[in-house]
Amino acid sequence: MKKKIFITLLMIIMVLKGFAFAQIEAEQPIAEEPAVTEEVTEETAVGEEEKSGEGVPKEEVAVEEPAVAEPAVAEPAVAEEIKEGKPAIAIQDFNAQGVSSSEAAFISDFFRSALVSLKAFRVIDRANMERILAEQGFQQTGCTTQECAVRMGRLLNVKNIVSGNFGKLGELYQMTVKVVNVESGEIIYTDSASCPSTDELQLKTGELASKMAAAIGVIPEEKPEPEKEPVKKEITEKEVESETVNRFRVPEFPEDEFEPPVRFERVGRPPVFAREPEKGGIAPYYSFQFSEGMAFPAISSGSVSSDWFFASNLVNDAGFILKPSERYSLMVFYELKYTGPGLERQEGRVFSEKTIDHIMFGQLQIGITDRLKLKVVRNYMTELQRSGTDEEWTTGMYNFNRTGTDIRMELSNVLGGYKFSMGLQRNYLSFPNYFNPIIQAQMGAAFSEAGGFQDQIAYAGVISLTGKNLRITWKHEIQDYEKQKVICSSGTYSDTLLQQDKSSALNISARLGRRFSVSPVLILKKKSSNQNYLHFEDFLDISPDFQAEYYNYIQGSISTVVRWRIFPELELFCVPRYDRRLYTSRNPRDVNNIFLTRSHQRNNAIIVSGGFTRFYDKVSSCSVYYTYVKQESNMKYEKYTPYNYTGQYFGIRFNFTF
Amino acid sequence: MLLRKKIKAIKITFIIISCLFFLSGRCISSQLTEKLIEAGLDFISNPGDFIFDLHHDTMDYTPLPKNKFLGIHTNILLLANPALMNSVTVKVAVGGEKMLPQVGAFYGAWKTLALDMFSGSLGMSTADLSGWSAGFFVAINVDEDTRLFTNVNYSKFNLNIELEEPLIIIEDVLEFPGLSGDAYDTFIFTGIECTVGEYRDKIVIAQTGYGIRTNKIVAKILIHKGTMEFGLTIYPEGLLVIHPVLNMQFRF
Repeated sequence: MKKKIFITLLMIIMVLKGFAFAQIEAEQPIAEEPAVTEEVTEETAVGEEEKSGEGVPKEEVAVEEPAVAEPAVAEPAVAEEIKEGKPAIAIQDFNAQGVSSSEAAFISDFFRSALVSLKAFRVIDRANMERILAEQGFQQTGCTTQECAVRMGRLLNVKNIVSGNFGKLGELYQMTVKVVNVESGEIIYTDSASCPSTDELQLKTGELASKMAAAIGVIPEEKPEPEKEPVKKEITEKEVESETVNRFRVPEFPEDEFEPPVRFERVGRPPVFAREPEKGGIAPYYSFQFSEGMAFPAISSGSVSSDWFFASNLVNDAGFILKPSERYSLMVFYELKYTGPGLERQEGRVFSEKTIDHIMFGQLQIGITDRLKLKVVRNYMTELQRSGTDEEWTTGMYNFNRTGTDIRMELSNVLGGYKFSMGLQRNYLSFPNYFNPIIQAQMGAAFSEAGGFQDQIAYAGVISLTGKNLRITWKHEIQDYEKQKVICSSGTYSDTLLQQDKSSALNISARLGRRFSVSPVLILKKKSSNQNYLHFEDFLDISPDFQAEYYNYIQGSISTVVRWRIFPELELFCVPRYDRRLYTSRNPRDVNNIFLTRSHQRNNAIIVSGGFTRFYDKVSSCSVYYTYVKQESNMKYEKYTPYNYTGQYFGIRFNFTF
Repeated sequence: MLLRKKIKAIKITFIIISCLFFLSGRCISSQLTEKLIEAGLDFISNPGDFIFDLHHDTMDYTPLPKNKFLGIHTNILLLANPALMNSVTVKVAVGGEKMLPQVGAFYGAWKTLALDMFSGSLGMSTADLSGWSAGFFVAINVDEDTRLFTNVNYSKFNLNIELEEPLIIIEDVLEFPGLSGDAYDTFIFTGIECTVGEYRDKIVIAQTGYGIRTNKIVAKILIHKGTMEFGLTIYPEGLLVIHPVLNMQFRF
């Protein structure tokens, strides 16, 4: 018990931490495009760390040079440096010796261009350099000493600064360069070159730049090439192939997937994350997931089979996103989903039940303003169910069809970068095969009209707030049954009162970290129904027990997805989850099917999954995982469905997503 | 040092998962016989379903490579005895270069030639086991390494095996005079094809099909290199969920 309390407290603390973290993040302005936003935000954060790391030596220099303040305008140089992974560098105008200063400046421009073409540095261009220095009141003229170069480098916020001389000695043009590390103040590299004519100056400057880049370890040093034969065409093609292969493989850690550009909400299904096409374009989407494994349940009591079984699941999504203009986009998805036998079943269902779902979604998105979007979603769904006896798919009693419309308004960049969404849903569910022998018998003469007792219209209101690392959703749903009457305390069905269910659910999910990420999820749900329950001991029972408000409950679920991307190709994951459902009125039953009137039914489940995922390329991956399930309840009557069991599942999952 | 720690973490994970698999394997052995008997009875009660699975093993529902217009496909190894089912699938296609979609048609058929030849000596009075599929496919290039495709086909097979004398399993209770049945359906497949490998010489294909009439789900994960193709065919509701397949393909 203490352990359970401890685990629960730990989970709550993690969620609260996630919330606090997200609040801090929310204070930073977030742009409209989430992918870009994430990149920029992270860069800024890293840039800040870099700056703070350099803070100590800067202060030391500042004592020597008290008149110079840290230039805020130089921050972009660091941000860009982090972005591209290249060190920032500045080039002072070369000192003229025996030539005009304009000629020396020209040569320094040659050198600057050569460094830019190497793509090994983030080179501060002359215009920016002059602007930043002018704003700080720094005079370049006469800045020829090493100390002055360091000071200039600090103002420009670069890692290294290059200074040099250009002159003419006799018939030869002479160039010397030296590189000063701004942080240490030391000269880390010097070199010189000469040439007899102006024609070769550009070439020599380029060589000097290449050697310098190699020497300070930015690019590999080019070894002098021996005389070689003309390159064969085959080799060239292989090199091209190699580049393509490198691009195709997973070259680096993927971008954050918590809030990618398009989050496509679907009623009753997890959202689809897809890339939006350019204006006037169309982007296809495809996803294939298949998992297969073995499940080993161990049921403590009852007559439900505890044999091991194979469990497989398959999800196939295909669709496209069409964007004819900036304002409009259309998304259409079709999903085929097979859910095989499994351990994690809902209450009242056995392990061996299987379903096939056909789900079709179409979403029209209209940009009303830059920040406000209207989304209209139309969905169709058919679910076919069958038990372990493999009856015909079309005869399942709980087979249903659903059609619905979801209208949502989405306002971006609120509360410091969050996306606020508010929507209404209306779904119609029909159960063509459902029958209720008791109510049909009671209806007597009206028996011919029997059927459709589960048909219902479900209305829902959804409000969500989505940030970079936090998502909060609240949903309230009302289900109006078309024919299902309410059972009265007299044990008969009401003439007029129809069943109505209401539920409210709060879902809070957060994500902390990237390569090592922790994503806690908290779900709280309350369900109430005006329906009651008659409990018949057997078919001959003429005085059934009446249970009022039998279906009302509150439920809490807390889980944490922990991911560690230890290599670009390999990720470890672990997902602990705890569910608890408390019925507010329902009494549990003992092993003899007798109600225990002094307590209310409660179900607890602990589910822990762990394993690893191997990413083969940008499209395909494979996971091997293990799941442990422990479900416990004070409901001990388990003749038909299991309430108390432990189970293990070993599985492998293939995933292809484009 | 960090790399060592990472490798150690992977090793530990592998060892833990391997141990758990091993421990669970002990649980299987006690019930394995029952499962096999159950599978055998399932086959006898509905042989057509399993044969239809084998039918899909032999057929090729993938598009042709971008620069090819004709393809011939045959199975080498099937889950069942490879001599029993001999198949050929012929595909023709146009388009496929750059952003043009590839459109093509295919026809495939299989027949148990060995069974026909040796039916008399095997004690069968009639032995007819054959099937065919025909349809069309469309593939679109989504980038230089990836294509999405769809395939719509009609598939049918016939099974009629009559034994000269019924096979008696339990006298007057369970006698086995032969197998008969057929199945047909229209299948819609969607899939993805990715070019991978150091020299971009392998193609990985994943596809899922759904039978409109029978609600049968067929999924395939295939790796194609040169003329060889191997992989898994998956039938979530089948007698055997995963079938390994090995095929040969010639493209022109």
